[in-house]
Amino acid sequence: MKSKSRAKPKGIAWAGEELSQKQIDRGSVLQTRYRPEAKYSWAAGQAMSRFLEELQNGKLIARKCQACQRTLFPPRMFCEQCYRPTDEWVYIKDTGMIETFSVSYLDKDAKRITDPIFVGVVSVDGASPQMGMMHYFGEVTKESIRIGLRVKAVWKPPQERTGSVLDIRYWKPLPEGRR
Amino acid sequence: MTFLEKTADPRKLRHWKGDVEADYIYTAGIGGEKMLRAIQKDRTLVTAICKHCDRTFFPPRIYCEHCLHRIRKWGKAPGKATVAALSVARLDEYGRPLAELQVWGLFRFEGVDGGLVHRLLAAPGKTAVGTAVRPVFKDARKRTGEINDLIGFVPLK
Repeated sequence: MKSKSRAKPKGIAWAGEELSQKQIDRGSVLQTRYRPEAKYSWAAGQAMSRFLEELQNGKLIARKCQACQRTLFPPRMFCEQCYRPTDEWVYIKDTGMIETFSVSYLDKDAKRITDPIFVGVVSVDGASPQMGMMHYFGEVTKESIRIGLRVKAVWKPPQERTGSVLDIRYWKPLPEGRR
Repeated sequence: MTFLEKTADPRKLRHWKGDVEADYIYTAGIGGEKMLRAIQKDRTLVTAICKHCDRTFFPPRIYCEHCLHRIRKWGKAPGKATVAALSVARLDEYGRPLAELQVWGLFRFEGVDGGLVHRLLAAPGKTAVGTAVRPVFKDARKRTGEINDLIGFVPLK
């Protein structure tokens, strides 16, 4: 059915005139074009900056809170449970366990795809329980992926790393019994 | 570095630079277009006349703000205006010092609601509120349909 939302209802005279793109493009109405100088510099913060630097080194780093003895990952400079600054940097392993996952038939631009991608949260070994990161899973199928599956990070070669979470290509399953 | 040592400079950390692409095209609207075109074409200041409550507005608009009636009648502002308020500017719009002081005023026309803020073409301290002024326009070939086609208001001799 044809949309009538733009038609004027009978008996009502709208004030004003809707301008068409043609009128704008032709310059048949006076116009001011402007781009505000709205520049920004966005910082990742102390903890995430170090986290990203260490990714470039092929390592995962966390922050330890001595009060609650938790190892916070991704790292943060303040413990939200104890309301105090965290105390020290600790490296954790690049192995972990699938905490939750999705089988997605949409890619990152929300385009439909036929071969699904696997995304989810990995809780990382060495961090406190259920602390982890969202990432891709690879070398799995929708039949083989499951919550609790042991996984290991697959890193890009050092020369390709940029200090991004994508310095890890994906997390792949560890053979049963391997830690 | 601890949490309490605050970093105010994002460039000291891993950071990303960006430019907000907030482009826009601003049009003057029906009343504004009428005003700017009339200044460009024949150096007149168009007013809007509400037939319902008999008020006249400048700058022109398509609604009466008193009785909310649609306005379709247009007139001409008198040739003479009055300085209703004035200010001496020492900085430009970016906050940089001006080489020469500028005088800006609010100009009103007798019997007309509203008014216009524009340049008062007089030396600072030489003009007071209440002074009678008249508009001064650029030459026809230099007018482009913008508010600066009107150079400002100059005191009547």
